[in-house]
Amino acid sequence: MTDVALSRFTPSVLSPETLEAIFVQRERLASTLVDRIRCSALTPNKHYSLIIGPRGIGKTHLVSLVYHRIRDDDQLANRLLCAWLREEEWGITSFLDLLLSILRTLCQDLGDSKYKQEYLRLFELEAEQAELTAEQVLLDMVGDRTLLIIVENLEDVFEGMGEAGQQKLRAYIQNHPSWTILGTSQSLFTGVSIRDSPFYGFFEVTHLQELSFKDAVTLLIKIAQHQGDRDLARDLHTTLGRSRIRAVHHLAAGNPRVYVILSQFLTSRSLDQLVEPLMRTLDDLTPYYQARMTYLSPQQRKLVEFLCERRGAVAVKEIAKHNFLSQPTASSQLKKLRGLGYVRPAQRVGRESFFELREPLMRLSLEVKRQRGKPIRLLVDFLRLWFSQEELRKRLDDLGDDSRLDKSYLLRAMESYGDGSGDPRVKACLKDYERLWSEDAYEKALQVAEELVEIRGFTSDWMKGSWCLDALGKAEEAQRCKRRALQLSAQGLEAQRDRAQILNGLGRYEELADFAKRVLKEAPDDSGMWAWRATALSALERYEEALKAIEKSIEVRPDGRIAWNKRGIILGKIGRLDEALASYDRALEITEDYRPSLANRVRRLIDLGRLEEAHAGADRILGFYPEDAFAIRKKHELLSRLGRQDEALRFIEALVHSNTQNGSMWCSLATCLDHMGNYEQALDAVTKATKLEPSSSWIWSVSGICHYRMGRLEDSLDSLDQALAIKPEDPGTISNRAVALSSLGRYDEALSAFDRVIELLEDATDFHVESNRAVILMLLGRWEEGREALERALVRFSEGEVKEDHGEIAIVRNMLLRTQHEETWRRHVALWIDLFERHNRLTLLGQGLVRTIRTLTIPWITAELARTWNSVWQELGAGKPALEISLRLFEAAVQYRESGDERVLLALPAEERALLKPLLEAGRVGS
Amino acid sequence: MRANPGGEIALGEVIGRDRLIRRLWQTLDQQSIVLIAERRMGKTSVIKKMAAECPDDRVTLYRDVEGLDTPHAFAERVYHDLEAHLDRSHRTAGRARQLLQQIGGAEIGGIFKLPPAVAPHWKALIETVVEDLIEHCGRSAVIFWDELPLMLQKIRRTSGSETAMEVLDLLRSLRQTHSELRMVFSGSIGLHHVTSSLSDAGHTNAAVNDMRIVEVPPLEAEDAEQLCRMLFEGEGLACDDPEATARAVASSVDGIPFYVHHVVSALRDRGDAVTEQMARDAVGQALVDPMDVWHLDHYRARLKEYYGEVRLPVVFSLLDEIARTDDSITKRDLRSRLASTHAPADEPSVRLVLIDKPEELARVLRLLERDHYVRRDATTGAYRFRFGLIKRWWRLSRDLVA
Repeated sequence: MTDVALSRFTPSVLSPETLEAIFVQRERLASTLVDRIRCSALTPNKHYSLIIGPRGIGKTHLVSLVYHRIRDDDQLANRLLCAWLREEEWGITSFLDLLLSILRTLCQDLGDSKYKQEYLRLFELEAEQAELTAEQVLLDMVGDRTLLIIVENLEDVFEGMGEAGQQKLRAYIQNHPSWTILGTSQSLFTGVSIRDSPFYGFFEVTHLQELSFKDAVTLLIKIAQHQGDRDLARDLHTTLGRSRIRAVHHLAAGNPRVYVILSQFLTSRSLDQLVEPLMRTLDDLTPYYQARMTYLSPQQRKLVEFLCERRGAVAVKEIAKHNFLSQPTASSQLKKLRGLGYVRPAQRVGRESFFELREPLMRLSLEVKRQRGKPIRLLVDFLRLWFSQEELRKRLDDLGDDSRLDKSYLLRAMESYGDGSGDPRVKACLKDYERLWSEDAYEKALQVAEELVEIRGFTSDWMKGSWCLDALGKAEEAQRCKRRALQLSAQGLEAQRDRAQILNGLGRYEELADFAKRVLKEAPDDSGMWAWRATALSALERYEEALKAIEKSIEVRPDGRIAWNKRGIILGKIGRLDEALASYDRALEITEDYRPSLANRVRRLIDLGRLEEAHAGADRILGFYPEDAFAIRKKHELLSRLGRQDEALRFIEALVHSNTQNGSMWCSLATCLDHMGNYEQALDAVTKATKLEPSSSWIWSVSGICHYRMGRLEDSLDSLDQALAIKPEDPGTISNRAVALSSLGRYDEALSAFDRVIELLEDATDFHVESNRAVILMLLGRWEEGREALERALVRFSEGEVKEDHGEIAIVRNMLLRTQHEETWRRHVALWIDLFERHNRLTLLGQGLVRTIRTLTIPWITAELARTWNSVWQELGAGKPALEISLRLFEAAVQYRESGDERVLLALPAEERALLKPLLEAGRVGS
Repeated sequence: MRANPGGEIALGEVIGRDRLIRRLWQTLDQQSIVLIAERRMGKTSVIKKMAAECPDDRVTLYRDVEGLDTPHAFAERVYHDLEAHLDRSHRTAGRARQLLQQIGGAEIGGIFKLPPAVAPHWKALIETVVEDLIEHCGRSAVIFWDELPLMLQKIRRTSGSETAMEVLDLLRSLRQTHSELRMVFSGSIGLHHVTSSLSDAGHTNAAVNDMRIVEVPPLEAEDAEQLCRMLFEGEGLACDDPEATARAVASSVDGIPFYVHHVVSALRDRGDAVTEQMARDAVGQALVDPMDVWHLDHYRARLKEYYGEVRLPVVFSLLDEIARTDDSITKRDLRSRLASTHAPADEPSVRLVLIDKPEELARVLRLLERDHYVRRDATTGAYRFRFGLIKRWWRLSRDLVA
């Protein structure tokens, strides 16, 4: 790792290379600004650009980068003079001062002694004469060139010059149109926005946007790469890394400076816990935020401090009252503070406007000393867990697809290596198999695989059978097939490549890597074997070696789309996303409809935050494969993330309407609606799907979930039974059935079902299953046995055998459905608090409580039940700091559901409200 | 051609103003001109183009005078600008230079300065340099003074109303004395605001009534569309139907070139292929943009300054009522709407226009016309918003949308 220092507060001192290396989000804007300056220098058009954004948003970084690009442009060398008036030009109080400042900068840059003399002579003149002469000197200096003025904090310069100075400046520019200006300002100011001001409408104004979450991840990865910290760059790209950054992002409100500071304390190891680096970031930020306070007038400062103190959003009326101000004065000051990026309006309630601090981190940072850091630690820990669960859920969704891709990759690999048979039956079977596999018709695909085994019995045929059995949840039979394939391979009945394929299928990656190495020693030009080695090394997370291996494969066979695709995957894992994209593009040049690369490209574009392009990518897939489930899901998700919610829903509805007889489409619609929290409509959609496609276990399984969400437990159970009738050994469906049974009070059956799931999962541990099973034992009166089982599950959980519970801690939510008996609740909740606290997982338990908010939308969960459930938790959780945030959120949710009063939510700090709102909004739609 | 809202436009790229410029030259054959228009309509581009591309039989001069705040600073500037049009021999022999030497003006680095003690000679200096120009340049002269109302306002502030009036009177007398001399005044604030404040101060001279008032209108639809298409092309924007999209942009912004540039700039920033709907959305977005990127809020904010605190409620109500009507509304209907929505006893400004001083309503409406908020139908005399864009914004910002 190289030690490259990044200046957090003065980006203008960074080298052009560093500025470029850590530049995110604003490339289009930077190019536009450079274009405008070029156009001004090379044509009679002159552009005036003004960049607006609060302190720390990255104005100087942008301006510095543009400056260096302009300086490096040879075409402009003789056409442009550049005067960069630095960040704090305190001394400008008149038009003359501005001229002097420009001349001084130009003299320094040009080093021309003649002009230097003329500049010095100006100080011997009377001010009025000096101004006229300075105008002339500047005209002479510029000649037929264009003068680029870069002015930071233009609002200060304008304020210093006053109206008279601004008018002179404008007249000068009008009379001698050889200027182009790039200015920055913290907010719009009267000098440009008031209609009667000289520069009204003069500038093309751009408001810098805060960094999105994706931008933040990209920025941190770029900084890590720039500093040579490859481990961190890689880890930031993982699910864990993303979830940690999401937690920080929740507080930082997109302020780039926060991430730059954070990057200095972040290491691959500290990323996991996050609390320490963030606390150190807060320590470092405190002087920055304190300095920001000094830029404010005493009255404005008082308002900011008041909002800090109150934590939540406060009505203008109340702000005015507590600060002894008239309401119009308070409004006007808040408007100014809003423009400066200190506060933001929360929503209106009736005619009342509410305001709050814009950056939660600012408040926390200013609070850090007073509160000695403890509540902040708890908050950070809460967010760390909350977002890792959110990410996990998203990622699982994607992983499903990745694993499909891996299998598809294997299939393709096998095809490309060929099995040498000219038998037309084999060809027909292979074709059928591929089609059926891509349509998820595993039963039928299995039949074809069995046919292949009968015809010729290759190891690859046994493997095909094993994949289908895996997909059908018949793990045991699948293993048997794999073992048979391995035996065949060991007996030398098949080629080495088949052995590699089998080792991969069995997940024996160390063995595969060694095997490939041995083979390659003898046959270094076997591109396929290089690819297998890359696959194994990648699975072992030895990405750099994997990359070398796959590049070797490409070197041997440059037109292998599979290898290019694999290269993209490996590059993606180590955070080299742009190169990953280029790899996929290369694969698509070879085969334009190569689906794995089309899909991976969409994934990486999402990772890069290039959502519009990702959206176009999803459309591209749909162009080739109109019913592709991944593309449909991603397109829907992307439209939602682009804020085009209506379009998202319209898209999926249109799809359904054009395929009204396609059950899978209706089911896709249901899952989308379910994600949006629109449970009732989701249920309608999936009900249609079951009618159209009654033989799909997936659809019945979704139907079971949708019914459960609406509290229709019998119907849920019926649906899950239907799913299991088609695909009997699916652990997920059996587990859901167990939950439904337990909610119907059929605890014995539920217990058997959970036992069956554990049997099917063999050695795999699953906190969700184990914890629910433990609770059922307790409900069956086997309290001690259940308690021990729960503790055992928690021990395994805490020891890291199981990372998370997919974010649910579903025992909490399920308890609300399993029984409505207050005393039972008390007994269980008390035990949970005790056990989770002992195993240092209390925050996670609290989050389980928060996630029951959506369950409150079930029609038969009455307001009274919700109140009782809340009071049990408030009483038993009182005095437990780790539960504090969860209890507060839950109480607010219950109160809000009952009263509908927005003030309940506004009283929460923004960062807490932001967590709660999606849960409540979903609830409202569903209720 | 690139989008450049607010920037300096190359004269060759000033689109759709040829007819207007021809008309202005025809008018200048007869008389001088006061050029009026809403801000950012493109006045300066028009007069710079005229000054740069004038017919051979004329000499032109363009000067933005908003930086000047005293009559003698104005005189110095006029002297330098006009003298620059004389050849060296006429310069040194000119009466103006002789006058300057007599009164002790000093030349430093080629720049003449009037010493403070002889500043009162400003009138004589302007008169003589104009005489020199007319006598020696051999062609008729057109002087374009941009932002003249702003300069007059400042002179009024620094030297009093009387001096400001004297400047206007002097310029009028020069126009009347020299038949080869024409002037074009233009400015971002209406000259009527300055002259009416001077008349409020007791000056009744009709200082510009020999000049023709000409308004710079928005672009004709076809010109606005052409501008739009050229900007699409210059910005390299992909567009399935450039004709229809340009039509959508032009009509949504009433052909105002400043906003055409803005819309194309916004579309460019989105980076997608442009459609008609996206163009309409871009306009819609700008109208409700919380950062008010088009600075439209000043159509509301300036009303207080222009019409005073007392008249403000009635001005708001009038604009609300005119904005509410789909087409236009007569003065009589406006009066009755005011009466039905306000109790005159509660609202002094309403009482003023409805009871105490009924003619005040016509006056307020006339001022709203001059300030480009409304215009009257030539046949019915009914009022409507001058620009559909501003009407749309007003309705949105005042929550008048049903």
